Amino acid sequence: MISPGYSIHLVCLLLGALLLQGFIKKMKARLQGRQGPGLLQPCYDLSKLLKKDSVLSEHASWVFRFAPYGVFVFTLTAALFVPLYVPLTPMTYAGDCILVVYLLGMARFLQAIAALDTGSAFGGMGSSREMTISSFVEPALFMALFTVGIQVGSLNLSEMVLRVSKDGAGYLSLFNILLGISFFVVLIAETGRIPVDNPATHLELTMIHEAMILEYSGRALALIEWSKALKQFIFFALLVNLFLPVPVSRGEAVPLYSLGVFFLKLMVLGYIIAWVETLNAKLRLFRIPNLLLLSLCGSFLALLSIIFVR
Amino acid sequence: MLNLLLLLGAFSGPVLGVLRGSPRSSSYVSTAFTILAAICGLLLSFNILSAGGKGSTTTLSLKAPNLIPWINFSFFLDGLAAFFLLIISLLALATAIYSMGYNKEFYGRNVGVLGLCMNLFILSMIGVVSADNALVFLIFWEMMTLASYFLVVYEYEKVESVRAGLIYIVMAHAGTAFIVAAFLFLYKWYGSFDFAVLRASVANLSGIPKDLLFVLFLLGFGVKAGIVPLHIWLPKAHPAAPSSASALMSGVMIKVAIYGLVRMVMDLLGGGRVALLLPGGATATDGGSLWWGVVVLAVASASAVLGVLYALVEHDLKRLLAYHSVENIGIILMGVGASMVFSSMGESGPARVALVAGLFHTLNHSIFKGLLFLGAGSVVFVTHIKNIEELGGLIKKMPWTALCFLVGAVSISGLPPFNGFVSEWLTFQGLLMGFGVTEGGMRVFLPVVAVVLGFSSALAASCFVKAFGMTFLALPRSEHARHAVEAPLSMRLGMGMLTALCLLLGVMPQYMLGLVDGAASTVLHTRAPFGNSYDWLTLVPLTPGGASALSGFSPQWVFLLLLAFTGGLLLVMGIPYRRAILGETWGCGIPALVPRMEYTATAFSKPFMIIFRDLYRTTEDMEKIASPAPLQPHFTRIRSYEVSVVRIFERYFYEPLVQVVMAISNKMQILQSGSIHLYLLYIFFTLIALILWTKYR
Repeated sequence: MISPGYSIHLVCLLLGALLLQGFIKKMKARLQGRQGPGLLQPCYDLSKLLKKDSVLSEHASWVFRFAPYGVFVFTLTAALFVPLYVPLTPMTYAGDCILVVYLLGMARFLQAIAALDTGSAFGGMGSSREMTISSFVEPALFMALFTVGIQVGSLNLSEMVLRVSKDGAGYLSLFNILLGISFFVVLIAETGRIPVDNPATHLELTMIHEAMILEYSGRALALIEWSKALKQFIFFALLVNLFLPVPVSRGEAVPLYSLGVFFLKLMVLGYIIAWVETLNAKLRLFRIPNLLLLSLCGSFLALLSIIFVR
Repeated sequence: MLNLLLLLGAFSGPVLGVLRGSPRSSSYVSTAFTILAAICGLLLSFNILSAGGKGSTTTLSLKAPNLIPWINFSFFLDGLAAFFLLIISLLALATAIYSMGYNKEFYGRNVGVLGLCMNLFILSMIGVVSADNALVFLIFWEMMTLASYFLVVYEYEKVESVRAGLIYIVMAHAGTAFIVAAFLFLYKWYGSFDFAVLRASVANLSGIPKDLLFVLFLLGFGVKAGIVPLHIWLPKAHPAAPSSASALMSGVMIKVAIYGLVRMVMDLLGGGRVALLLPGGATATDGGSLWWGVVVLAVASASAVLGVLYALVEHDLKRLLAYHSVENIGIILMGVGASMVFSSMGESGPARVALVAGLFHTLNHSIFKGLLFLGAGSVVFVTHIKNIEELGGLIKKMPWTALCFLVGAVSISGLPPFNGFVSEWLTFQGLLMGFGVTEGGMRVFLPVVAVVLGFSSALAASCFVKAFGMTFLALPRSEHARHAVEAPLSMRLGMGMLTALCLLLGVMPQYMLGLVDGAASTVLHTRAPFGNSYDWLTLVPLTPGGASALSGFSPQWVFLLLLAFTGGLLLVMGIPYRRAILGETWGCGIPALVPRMEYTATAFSKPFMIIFRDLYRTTEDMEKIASPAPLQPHFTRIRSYEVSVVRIFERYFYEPLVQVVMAISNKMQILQSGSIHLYLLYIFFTLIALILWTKYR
């Protein structure tokens, strides 16, 4: 398990997540005509938070205290199953896409109960909304992943990426583009971006994720922010690897070429996200299920066409 | 021989159930016998299962030729029966330990009767799964219904218990009627009640008679299992019983119905017999048709989603859990239904994976649903409140109960690293394997069912965030919740045992899966054993061809990884919030946080109510108070807010049905004059008519 390739994988994961966060913020600022913070700002924020004291609500129990650790551990474990610049990952054959989705589900479960723990109405609000949205995200996500898995013949993410990158441009049929768009909608919902949630808001009545973590401070907050960035990185990596195929090497050593290609793809997607966030307003909470239903239908159409058109 | 002794031990439950004496002694004696029976049952089932389910079976034949000459009281335990015996014994053991403390709740009443009913209930369930004869099966089946009915109405002075009991017993008997009808058909055609004889004979049956039998069995067992739309009794009856009984009813009794369905449809009718592939692609099946499995899958999907959707808007803790039983029966039937589909197509590998998934989820659901009901029982035991809106903050008063309930909640939501995830994962695999082996419409249908499974488990997670959060977290919302104390040791032990099993089966499922595989193989009669199955580190349910959408999963690696990361994090960052400054939760500037300011369960489920308003048909009822003159009408204050949900099956199907039945009964009243002479006359005429009919038929 401890080989240079894997350590680079881990570093790429932990730092890449923060850099991606910074990149999107920067792009968003640029698109809105602002200068924006530097690329490394999330890293600075994190190191600042790690040094700070924390305030703990007197009503909170151990659930609140340990939840950030749990959220981080489950998210990081899930991330180890997701291929980044090479199809193989440190844990390739120990799990598949269902496991990844459910590990992230466990992280969300912990976050949601921790939000209820302090007795704050905002926590409850965030928790309720997060769980509502996730109930609609999950079927859409599964439909998209299963449709890819069915074409590839495996639910293992590495196998999927391997097949997709081998097929290259040939993989980009019309229905896989449709599938990619559906997955993009899921990505927006899962990463809490506009129009589903606004990561920059502290407006009491519209926030979802921010409402859940309102009572956190110091190190715990740092871990939660980091997990959120990691989760975003996971979904970005999935999308670019499954729907923007570029032939990559399988090699064990660090292939600089594929690393570069991978980050280039992430940047393209990050720019698109910044663009979507700039051009759209947040949706009403009760319109979000419609959006996700649309994504589900897109994936379902792709499934139908794979079965009946091919 | 040892097996026989153990079987008798397992039957020893009800002896001395009732003791006139102090409630404490009668409670202890009855639980002691339950524990004895449960241990015998566990040993026996392990004996049979560890031998692969095939080689060693136990037969016990009791004949009473003088009394009832035509019935052979025979019992038979093969792999499948032994597996369900394992489930029954496991839960019986946990609830018996739990009952030692829990029965104190009922010391003012007749505890002996409670113990007797519980033991009779357990005995009858063991009888059902070990019966080798339709009549014996029915006798125990009926005994199971009656014993559980008495448990439901144990608190007979409560109107709702009695009402729940009435609905339960009516529904249960309607279901039993279908099963009786099916067995009578079989008896009429083949002249025997013995399962072995029937199994051999039914193979020649085909077409409509066989389909009819399938429908009868599905309806009959479906009522008891609580599939939608036959589930209406379940959310009423399970919560009404004492919690130890609820745990057994939800954890085990509805599984006995799954046993009945698997035994009768897959084994007896051959729905699980893998079809032979003939040259040219045709299949020669002496088993079931494809549409059986499709119907089961459709029913399963409906149960899974509707069960959890109704649970979401339910705020009575025990009723919420009961609705989740409907959901989980759906998940179990997804595995069973997929297995039936594959069997009818001659695909032994996927059929086996799907059935193993269904059976394993049966075991897992017993464990975590039993655990959750016991946890709910502890909460009610301490606070006497079932409404989660009035609970809260219990995690500080009852830390062990809270931890156990949390593990149960995570397991039932199908999240790793607990047992619910492993069986849901296998169910996904089973369903998606269908893509490689089916054609056309089925290729669409099976992934859609898999997505429905994902949907229902995401909804379940939401529901349990609510159930756990509102019950155990934040501030107590009532006086009773404020003064709660931890449950007694025996209750914690009972829960702790099941909690440990949730984790154990989630991290090391391979050994148990091997046993489940043995149980599944006794039903499927697979000719080609399914190779590459479950080694000790990775689960790779691969079909030999490897043509299907499959993958592997290693629970051990995942668990090790989680442990390593947690350990590392604790090492680097220390215990969380060890040096924190205590402060108040921010209450928008209002000085002290009071429970009234917390989010409520109603508020939590409000988004779901709005999104699914067409299903729930909610009606809101607000009581408003007028404000003083200048503020009126813009600042109306709301004193109370009530939202109610229409349960569409009851409103649009059962209520009209009851009305029709009542109308007919009213008409029939003419016959019922109260005069005994008239009744004698009826009997006389009926007799004459019957004699004439048999004569001139």
